[in-house]
Amino acid sequence: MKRMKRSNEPIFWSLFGAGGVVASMVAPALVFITGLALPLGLLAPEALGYERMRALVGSLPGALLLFVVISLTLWHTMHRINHSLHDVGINAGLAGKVVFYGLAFVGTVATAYFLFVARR
Amino acid sequence: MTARNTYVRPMTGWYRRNPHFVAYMLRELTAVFLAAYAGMLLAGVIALSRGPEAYAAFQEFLASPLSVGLHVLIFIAAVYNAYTWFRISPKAMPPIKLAGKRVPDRVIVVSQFAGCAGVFIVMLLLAGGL
Repeated sequence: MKRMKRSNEPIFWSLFGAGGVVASMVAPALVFITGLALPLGLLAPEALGYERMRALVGSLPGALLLFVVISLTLWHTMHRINHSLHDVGINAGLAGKVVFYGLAFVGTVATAYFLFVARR
Repeated sequence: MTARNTYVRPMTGWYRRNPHFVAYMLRELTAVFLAAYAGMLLAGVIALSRGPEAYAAFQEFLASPLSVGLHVLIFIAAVYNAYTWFRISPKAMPPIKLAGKRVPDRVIVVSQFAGCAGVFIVMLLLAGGL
């Protein structure tokens, strides 16, 4: 009897789950601060100014926080969009996995690289 | 063999048939906005790595009406996604036991909302320089 091929779904589901926790706990506050409070003048422009952000990225906890938020949110959303394709009648199969998980992977590598550059 | 003429139930617009399906599709749609936000943060990191001028241009974009409008939609999506996530998590995770008794779902849901509110306040204070 042929052995059943092991599914790789648990890996992607774990990343989806971890991303879901990060996205739901942190995203509302972060979106409000960077996208609304700052441009609308509820926070001083220097609050997220160049010097302060360089200091944030320069600290290890700050860089790790940004890396975790960006990469896990990407894995979370790409997993969900890939699975939603079926709901709207598109059966992308392996191609969908390659495209969406590929995007999440590229985004993760890019985040690590540019954080590294910004820390120098 | 003659072609069969079996009835196939049409599935177009299935998510409009039931309010639960509409809510489900809206939740799935939040992923698009959250992905856009992750891209926005990445753009910020890239701008930061390129120096003060690039970062100033990024901040200028954030202040544009287009960006503010987009962030209003992203904020609504983020809050709705968080709401659905907190409500479903007790069903998705293994039961937590405290002193031999299972922690009720409601306690788990409420404590997550409280945690999220706490994160919101702490991050606002940190961003504002306390």
